[in-house]
Amino acid sequence: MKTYVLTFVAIIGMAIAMQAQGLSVGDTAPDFKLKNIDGEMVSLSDYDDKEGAIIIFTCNHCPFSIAYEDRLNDLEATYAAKGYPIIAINPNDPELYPEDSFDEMKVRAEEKGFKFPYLMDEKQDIYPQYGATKTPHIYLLSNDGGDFTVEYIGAIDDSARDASSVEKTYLADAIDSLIAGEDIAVTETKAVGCSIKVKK
Amino acid sequence: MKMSKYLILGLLISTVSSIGLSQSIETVTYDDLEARWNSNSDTTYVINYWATWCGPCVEELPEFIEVHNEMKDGPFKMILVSLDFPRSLESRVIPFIEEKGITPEVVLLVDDPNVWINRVSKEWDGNIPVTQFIKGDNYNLEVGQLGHKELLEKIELINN
Repeated sequence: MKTYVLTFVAIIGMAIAMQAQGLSVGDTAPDFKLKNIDGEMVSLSDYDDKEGAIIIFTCNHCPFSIAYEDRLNDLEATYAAKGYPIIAINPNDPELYPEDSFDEMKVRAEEKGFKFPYLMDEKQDIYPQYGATKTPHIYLLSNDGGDFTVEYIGAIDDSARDASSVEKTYLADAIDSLIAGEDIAVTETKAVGCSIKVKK
Repeated sequence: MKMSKYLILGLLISTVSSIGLSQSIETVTYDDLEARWNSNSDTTYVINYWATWCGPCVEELPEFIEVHNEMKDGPFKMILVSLDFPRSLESRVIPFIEEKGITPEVVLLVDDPNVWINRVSKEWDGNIPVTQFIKGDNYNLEVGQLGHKELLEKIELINN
């Protein structure tokens, strides 16, 4: 019996520890310094004159990420000017998925005409701090004098597989609420994605 | 005479389309899936969420097929829930099933991800592959790729 209770406690403890990894809504987002496809280093702190930022963990190879590329361009076109630019980060190990290599990132960004930085989490140490588990995985941040707070975590909208049947534009709604100074109605959503490919 | 010609034509068309149907994949909601295991508590259900484009999912598929073939005669049901793009069913998913010799039932899930993912587990984020093991009130979720031995262990565990 005792062993069972102990095991149970251990399992609960592990579950809590697992949850504690990564950010929740309301947490302060950690800064990072990662290499952009243009060779320059980009930090979150570079954005301290903005209203906030949209951190998107994404990659080249994942079809759900690919399905969102045009929608990312639309979001950047709409919201960068309103103070919420996109920062895309590829968290995958390119040795496991050569399609996600730095060179291939450059090619894809060029092809799709990304107007936002596309960074590589080369040491794979930023995505765990945020708690990203898959691509795409979104963290919407607000900025108050260089302190970035997580306002929304999850999906871009409710229809990854078909842009024409989107009914709920979660991310855009959350940004609109921030701009309007209103509470965000839905602060966390879930979506299917490709698991982040970690060096073993 | 003319009438019977049309009749034959009609019969032909319906035969051809029913052959087509037998090769098609059922599109389901999460409610549909849940109704399956809720209605049959004597059966062990292994429900694997996958997609043809998901590397680790495709890697673990042969293990699932093998285990399915070993256990399918018992009170056991395996369902491979595809999260592929609905538009690629004919062009990609069905040819893939034939090519890989996939024997378990394959269905396509089309539902609101923000709802059904939480119904699978509040702790799960939506990263695939993921596998549910269900028997009666016993429920277990395994996130990530599974090997043959692990798969058998998880089935054993849910049965006891």
